[in-house]
Amino acid sequence: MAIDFAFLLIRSRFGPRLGVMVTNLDTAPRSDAEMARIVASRDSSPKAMIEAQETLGHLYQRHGSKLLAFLSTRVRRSDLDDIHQEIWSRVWSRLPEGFDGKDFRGWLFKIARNLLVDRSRKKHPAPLEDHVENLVDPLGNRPDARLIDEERRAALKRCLEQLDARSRELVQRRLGGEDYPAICQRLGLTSAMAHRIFHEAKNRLKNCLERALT
Amino acid sequence: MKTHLLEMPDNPAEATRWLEGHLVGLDLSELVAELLAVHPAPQETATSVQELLGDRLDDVLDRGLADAAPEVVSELLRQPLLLFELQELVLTKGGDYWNRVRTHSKDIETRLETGRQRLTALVTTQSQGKPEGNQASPKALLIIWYRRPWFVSLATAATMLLAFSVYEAFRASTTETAGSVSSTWGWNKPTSRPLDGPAPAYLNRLAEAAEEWFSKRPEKPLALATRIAEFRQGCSKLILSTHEPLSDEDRRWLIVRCRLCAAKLDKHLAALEAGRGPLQVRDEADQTIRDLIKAIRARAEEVTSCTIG
Repeated sequence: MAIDFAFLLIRSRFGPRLGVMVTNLDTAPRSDAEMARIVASRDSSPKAMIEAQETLGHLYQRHGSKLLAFLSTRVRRSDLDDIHQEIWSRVWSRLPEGFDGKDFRGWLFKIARNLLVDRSRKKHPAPLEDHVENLVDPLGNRPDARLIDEERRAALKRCLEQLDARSRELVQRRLGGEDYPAICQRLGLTSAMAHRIFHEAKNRLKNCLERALT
Repeated sequence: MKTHLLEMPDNPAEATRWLEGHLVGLDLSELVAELLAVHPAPQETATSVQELLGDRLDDVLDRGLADAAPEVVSELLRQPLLLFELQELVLTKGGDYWNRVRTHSKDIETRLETGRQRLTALVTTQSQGKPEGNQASPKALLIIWYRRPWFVSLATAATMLLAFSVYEAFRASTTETAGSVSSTWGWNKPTSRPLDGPAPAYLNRLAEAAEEWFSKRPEKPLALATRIAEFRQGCSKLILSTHEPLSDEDRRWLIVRCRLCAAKLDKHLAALEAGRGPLQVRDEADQTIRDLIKAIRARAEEVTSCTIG
C-alpha cells in the first residue's frame, strides 16, 4: 500500500517533467466515451487523479491533431497553440459536469466552436447573431492571415499571367486534377511534351513566387 | 515560402492522397488561397459538399477520397472553398481511415508534443493546487502550510524575483544589455518614419532603419530575445501606421510583408524560449530581416520605375 502510494506520488510529481502523461498501459483501445467517463468521474485521490490525467492524455493523442487542423483554418497561426491548449483545459475542467457521456468528439468540437465564438465576441463586443456559423467564418476570423493568403493568391495570379497561354492552360488543367491523357487530347500535345511544358511552367512559377513573396 | 499547389503529385491516386493530407493538416487555407488564384470561378458550382458528393459522402467520410470518382477530386480542386466544408466533416465525423492519413504539415507533431507537455503541467498544477469535488481529503487538509502549493509557488516566485533583481543589477554593470522592450532604434526611432516625401525614398528609409538590426550582435538568449522583441515591436508600429507617402496598394503590400516578418519573428522567439541555440536563432532572424529589407528595397525600385515610366 505504502509502495503504491509512493509510486503514484512519484509519477504525479515527476511524470510531467519526464513527459509521461501518455503511457501505453492499456493494450485494447478504449472507446472515447469510456475514457471520458474515467476523466469525468475522477475524485481527489492521487490514484484517480493520475488515472484521469493519463486518460486525458489518450484522448489528446486521439483527437489533438484533428482539433489542431480544425483550428488552423480558423485562427491565426500565432494563436493556434494557445487556443488548442485552452480547449483541452476546458475539456479537463468541464468533463465532470458538462459531458453527456455520448459523443466525445462532437462535444470536443462544440467546446472549440464555443471558444472561438467567445473570442469573436471579445473582439466584436456587439455580436450580430448567436449562430456559430455567422460568427466563425472559416477565413473571416483571422483577418491578417487572410491578408497573407490574399497576398499569396495575388502573387500566384500575377505569376500565372506571365506564362504563355498554352502553358497557363496546361497548368490550370493539371492543377485542376485533369490527367495528362485528357490534357494532351484537348491541347493537341504528346505526353512527353505536356510533361515538359508543365514542369518548365512549374519551375517558372516557383521562381516568380519566390521573388514576389520574399 | 512554400507553394503547396506546386507539390501536387502527377499520379492521380497520389494526388488524391496528397489532398487528403491537406484536409487533416495545418496548411489548408494556404492551399485554398493558391487554388483560388489558379482557377477562375467556375460557371456551374455545387453549393455544398453534400451536393457535390451526394450519396458518396458517407463513403468518403469512412474510406477517404479514393472512394469518390476522380471528377469529384477535380471538382474540389476547382471549387476550393468546398474544401473547408469537407475538412470540417472529415475532422468531426470522419472514420478511422482519416486517422491514418499522413499530413504534410511537418510542425504538427512538435505542436502536439509541446501542447501535451503544457497540458500535463496544467492539469497537474490544477490537481495539486485546486482539488476538485466536494470531498476534500482529510489528509490534504492536514498538509502543513509551508508545503502547500500556493506557498511553494509564492516562495518560488519571490526567490525568482530576488534572483532576477540580482541578475539585473549584475547585468547592468556588464557590457551586454538586453534592456526592456521599449527601444529607440530601427522602426521605433521617432524619426525613422517620415510623414512625407516620395514613396521610394520612404521605403528606402524604412529599409535603412531595419538595417540597424545588424548593428548589435547579442549572443546570450535574454539579450537576443529582447533584441528580437524590439524589432517585432517596430513591425507592430509599421503595421498600425498610415504610411501617408504610399499608395493603397503599396501600403497594403508593406503591411502584409510586416505581418509575415512579425510572424516569423514570433517563431524565432518561441524557438529561443524552447531552448534552441541563440546563435542559430540569431542567424534565422538575420535571414528573416534580410529578406524583408531586400523586399522593401525591391519594392522601392519598382515604385521608382513605375513613377518614371
